[in-house]
Amino acid sequence: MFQASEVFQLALAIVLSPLIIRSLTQSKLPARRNIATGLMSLTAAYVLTVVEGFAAEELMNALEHAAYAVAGVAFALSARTMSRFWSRQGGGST
Amino acid sequence: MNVVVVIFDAAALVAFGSTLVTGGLSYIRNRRMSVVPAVLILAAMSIMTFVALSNLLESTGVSQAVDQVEDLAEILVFPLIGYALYALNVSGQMDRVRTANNALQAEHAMLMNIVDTSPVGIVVVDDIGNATFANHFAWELLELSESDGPQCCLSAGVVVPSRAAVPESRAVFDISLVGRKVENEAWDYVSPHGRIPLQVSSTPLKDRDGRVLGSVVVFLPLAGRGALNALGQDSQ
Repeated sequence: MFQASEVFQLALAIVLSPLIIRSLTQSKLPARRNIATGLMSLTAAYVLTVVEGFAAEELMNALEHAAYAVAGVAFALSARTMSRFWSRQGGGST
Repeated sequence: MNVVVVIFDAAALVAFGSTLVTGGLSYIRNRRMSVVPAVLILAAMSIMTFVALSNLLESTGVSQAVDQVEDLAEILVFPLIGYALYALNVSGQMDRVRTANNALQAEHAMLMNIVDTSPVGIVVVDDIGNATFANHFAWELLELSESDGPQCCLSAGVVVPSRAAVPESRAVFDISLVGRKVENEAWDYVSPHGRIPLQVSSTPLKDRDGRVLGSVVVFLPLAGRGALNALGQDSQ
């Protein structure tokens, strides 16, 4: 069965995702797409965490952990992109 | 132990750990981001690294001790990232406002230099003929002095249509000029020291509803420099 904290984090992710994606589209961050991919993967992981309590536990669990891995890779790529971008740009703030 | 899950967890741990290290080092080296969003994003990535570590420990069967803590900590990730992006957007908007303000001030300073070095008199008058701004040339020619009131300056004389009588008002410009389009008309500056003929052009200033707020007046003395100097010597 799922836990209360898992449902709560899923609810937060579903409520905040549109606002965060909207903020991302308005920002000038150089790695917006990777960050959005990471956030969507995390949301998918939360959904799968809850779903695995109801059906196909092993498959959903594997997919959940795959989603975490995808989110990690997306965030790592965004950090690398931003680091390179800022190194080229020099001083100032974003 | 599910090997596939272990591989995913190991990959997630390496990826989130790499994000944390790369992001932290990049912030320390470049300082391109404000401190608040940087700390929030690094906090979120620290939590995700901890989550990935906890998942790996669980999937390899080493320990489930931090599982509960991990679930609670993970709740913070989305609010932290959301607030960080909000703070980034706000600081970006403030930077843009600051840049626009600096550009506006530079442009204003340049225009003021042009107006002040212009070899014609430029005066902005209000709706009753008081001068609210005068450039250097106008200041000298109309013998303006600073005012304590809402208008910028007082004058010893008054600018009236050529050969017209001097009105009783103490405004610098005759009221008949205000709100009217004037092109190269003959006007006079009348002071106790004499009368200086001027060639006057004027454009009315109006608000959005068409109400007259005043006029921008540009003028040139018609008398030669010698005559003006003589007039000035007479007055002394």
